[in-house]
Amino acid sequence: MNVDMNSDQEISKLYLEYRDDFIRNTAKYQLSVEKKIDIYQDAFIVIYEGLKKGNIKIETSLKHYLYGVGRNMIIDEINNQIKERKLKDGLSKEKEAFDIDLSSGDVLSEKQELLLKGINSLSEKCREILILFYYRKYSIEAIMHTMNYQNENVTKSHKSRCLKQLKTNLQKQ
Amino acid sequence: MNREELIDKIIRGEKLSEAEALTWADIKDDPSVKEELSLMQQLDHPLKIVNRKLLKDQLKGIETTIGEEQRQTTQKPIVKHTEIQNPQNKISRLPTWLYAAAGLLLLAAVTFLMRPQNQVDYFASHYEAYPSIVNPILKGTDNSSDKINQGYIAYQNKDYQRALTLFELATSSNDTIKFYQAISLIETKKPQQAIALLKDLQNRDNRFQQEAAWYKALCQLKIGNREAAISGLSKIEVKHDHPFNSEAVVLLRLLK
Repeated sequence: MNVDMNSDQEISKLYLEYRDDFIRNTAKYQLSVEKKIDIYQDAFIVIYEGLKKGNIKIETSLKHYLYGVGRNMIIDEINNQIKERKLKDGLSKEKEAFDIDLSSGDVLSEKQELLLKGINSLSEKCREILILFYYRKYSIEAIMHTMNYQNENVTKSHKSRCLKQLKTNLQKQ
Repeated sequence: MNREELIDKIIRGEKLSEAEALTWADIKDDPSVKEELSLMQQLDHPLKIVNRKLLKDQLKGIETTIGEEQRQTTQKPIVKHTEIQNPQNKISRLPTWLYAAAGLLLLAAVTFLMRPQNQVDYFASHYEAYPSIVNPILKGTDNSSDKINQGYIAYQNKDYQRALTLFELATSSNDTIKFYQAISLIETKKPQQAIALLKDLQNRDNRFQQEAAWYKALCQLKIGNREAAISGLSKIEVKHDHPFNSEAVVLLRLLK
């Protein structure tokens, strides 16, 4: 199954497509709607990153995967709350094979640590344009619309300036 | 194409043209190119971590927008019943009433959001009889007009079966009568017959064209024709000045 998330519009569309169903279908779990929305967002990010990296293959439906990951996160959250009250029960039996930790695989090499510092010291706009271009793989045209640039040339030259700034930041470290 | 653009293409996994491939073959063994490519290849992981926050903020932004839309719709003032009964006011007062109705419907939608529902439940939580905006006293005095006047009075009194009978007995008809006939049919649990009337109104330029589209979509929902309902609501959703636009947006979100 092909899932497109190559622009902000596509991300928003997919996010909204399953949001209400997710909240409704997890009604039996005693968590606030705000908490469920927070978890739905984390599940969405997990799926997004998995798809980008290629370690998730959606064979049936994105909805099924999203619910699976989200439901497991909800169960973890409830278990943590129960643990705190020393009343842990067997909820984890309901968990399915969707265990993916948001922070798993976040071990960075020394060079990557420097890059992370360099990226974080950029301006907000520069961070965003580099993420959109190099990580989300948006086209220049999509970035132009997302970030309200005048035209594609302005977008390209701003991206280049930000990349140069990043390299300068690295040399300073 | 400069060196940066070429490296961009490679790390983004884009296909190189023949000329680009030749240029790349020429420069790829240059130590400075190798170093730059290696740096760029390592960029993905740190960017993933930074992107997580950006994406989370983006999703929170969507939630904020949803919240603001709901607040804006629910804060519109409610119009007094008498204001919608004067035919002189009916065009100018209608949008205000609809804002209030939108608020009520949105509240209903939010209240019902957490419940498992079927299509008929969605109909029940979104349907509300259209208010009578016709003053019967100002109508004509012949026999047919008497029937119509009595029909409007019955409608105002929520006696929809009687309203329906009287509207059907009248020898003359117009779009307003047809519209109130359709609502009376819905109220007397005859959505299929209502659809026929509403479809006719929706397809012609008339005072109730937009309202007919909304009630027709609700009727489709009532009879279990989900696809047709979604199709009808989607057409309302893209018309931002449609009087039932916000209701359609909420209902579509629940249905999809």
